Amino acid sequence: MRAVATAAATVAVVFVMLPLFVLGLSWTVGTVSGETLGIVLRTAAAALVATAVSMGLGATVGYRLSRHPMPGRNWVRLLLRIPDHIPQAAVGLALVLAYGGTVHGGPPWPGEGAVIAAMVFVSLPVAVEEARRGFDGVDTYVERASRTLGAGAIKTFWRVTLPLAADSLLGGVAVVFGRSFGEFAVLAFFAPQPATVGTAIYRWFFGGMAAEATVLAVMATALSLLCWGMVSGIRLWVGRRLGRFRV
Amino acid sequence: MSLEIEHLTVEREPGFCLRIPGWSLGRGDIGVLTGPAGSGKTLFLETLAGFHRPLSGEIRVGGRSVAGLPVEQRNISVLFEKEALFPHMTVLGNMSFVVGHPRRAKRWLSLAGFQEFSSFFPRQLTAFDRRRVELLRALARRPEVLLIDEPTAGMPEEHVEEWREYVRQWLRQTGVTTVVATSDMREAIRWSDRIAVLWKGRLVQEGTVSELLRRPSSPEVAAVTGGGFVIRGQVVKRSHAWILVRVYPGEGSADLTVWSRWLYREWEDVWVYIPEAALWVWPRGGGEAVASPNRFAGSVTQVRMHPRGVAVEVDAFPLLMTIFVPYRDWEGMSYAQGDPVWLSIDPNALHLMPVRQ
Repeated sequence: MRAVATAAATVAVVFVMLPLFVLGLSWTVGTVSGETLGIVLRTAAAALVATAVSMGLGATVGYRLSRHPMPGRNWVRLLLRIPDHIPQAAVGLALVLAYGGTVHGGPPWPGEGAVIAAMVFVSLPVAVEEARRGFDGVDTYVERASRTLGAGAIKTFWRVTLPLAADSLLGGVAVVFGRSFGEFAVLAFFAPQPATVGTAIYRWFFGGMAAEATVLAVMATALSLLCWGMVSGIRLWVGRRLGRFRV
Repeated sequence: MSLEIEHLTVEREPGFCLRIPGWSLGRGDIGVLTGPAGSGKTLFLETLAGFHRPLSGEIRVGGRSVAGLPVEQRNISVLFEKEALFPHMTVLGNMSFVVGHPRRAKRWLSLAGFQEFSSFFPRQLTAFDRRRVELLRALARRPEVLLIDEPTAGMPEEHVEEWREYVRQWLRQTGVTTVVATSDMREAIRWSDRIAVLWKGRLVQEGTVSELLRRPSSPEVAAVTGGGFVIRGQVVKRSHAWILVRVYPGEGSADLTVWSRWLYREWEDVWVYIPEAALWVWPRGGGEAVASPNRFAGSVTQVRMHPRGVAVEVDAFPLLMTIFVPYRDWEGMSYAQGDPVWLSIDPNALHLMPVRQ
């Protein structure tokens, strides 16, 4: 059993690391243009806004789902998770049909707005789920104690509930940002025009600009990993304060 | 009066309703709520604290009506059954959360001798210290009323007595009115002499410990206080000083004399409460006559050791009773299984309760 697991882990690590290694190699021959940098930064900014919106909404809905037992709560959870489990291209098409007017005309929204909306759409289910899980993990006794000690509902939420759910919420932030930043299928359908990382790599690679696409991919990968590492570091720090990881 | 409750009705789940017609505690009093699990003790405390809205009734804290106020404005602190220190704050942070400024928090900590804990997180303390800090945090709010739910739940056995003494000492010094809820009658006795018994959401009796133990108002109270037997019976005959009651324990019947001038009519149905202290065993030789009332010939069926004494089970058909003989009295007796004994029941200690149809 252990041997099988080890073999599987080795295969998985090689499978994941090899393409990244190849990317790193090809980067050494490429050059970074201003346009590439611009696309990466604009996408990152849009993803940040989308993460903020998503987590704000997700935390609200997640708190509601976790705290107030209402009829049909499980149905709401189930409905919110549907976009996760169907083909991304279908989601993109559905988004165009619902909000974009016609398939070929594209959405009548300002470019970045459409990008952010699409990002929020794909990342909201994760945000809600992670937030709900985080709030479920907070002991209600602690919240109640805070109320009896003279803290109102708002102070209790900011000083007690949120810090205690922070670990899960930060995990949500990492996943949500990663998804928004790297989203391809839905953006390709719903907001193809202001080029984002996903759509630009695709378009450049098949438009005869393979070298530029590679550079863009390398930069985007590096940025994603950096963000992931940063959030993980914050999580570790928060978790250590909560005593979840012993030093 | 620091805490007054009038006609309180709370409905939490369908089919269970908490009704407290009236209950009040003076300033600095400790009142104990007791009753079996599910009798509504915690619901009562949570309603006082403000987590449930009562259907009707009045709760007054220090003369001020709080029934409509949110939790944080009631000036009632709670020690929950589970530990509720904020795990993400140090001890100092926990205290500062209540008193506002770290300097005042430090003063509170030094008052209790907790300076060396101040930079520790709750998980780094022992259960006893965590509970002490929690009590200090609850009192630092300067509450009018303190509610304690199951005070010794989760406390290691070696610290239980120390913890009780610690709480009592702080309560004496601060003069906070306190309500303690516990399902254990022996625990309840240790907290206060004022005990209220809850049964299925009703306040069935309130009084001192000896009143509850000697004169329970209903079989339910007798069941909660424990240590004794309740048997259904019927008044057969009464005179100016005694009542003859025929009891029906399972099969058969036995006549008991009760020295009491309580007004029970002849042929009225009653519950007979036989406290543990009313029972005694005497050695029985051959050919003795029944010398006094309430003496039944029987034999020892079982002898067990028990923390409260030697448990001697006597079968005096139709009565089957267990008598706890204190260990210091056991020396001279030493009954063995099958020994013939007299089972004697003190007619003075018996208590009758009316049967409510």
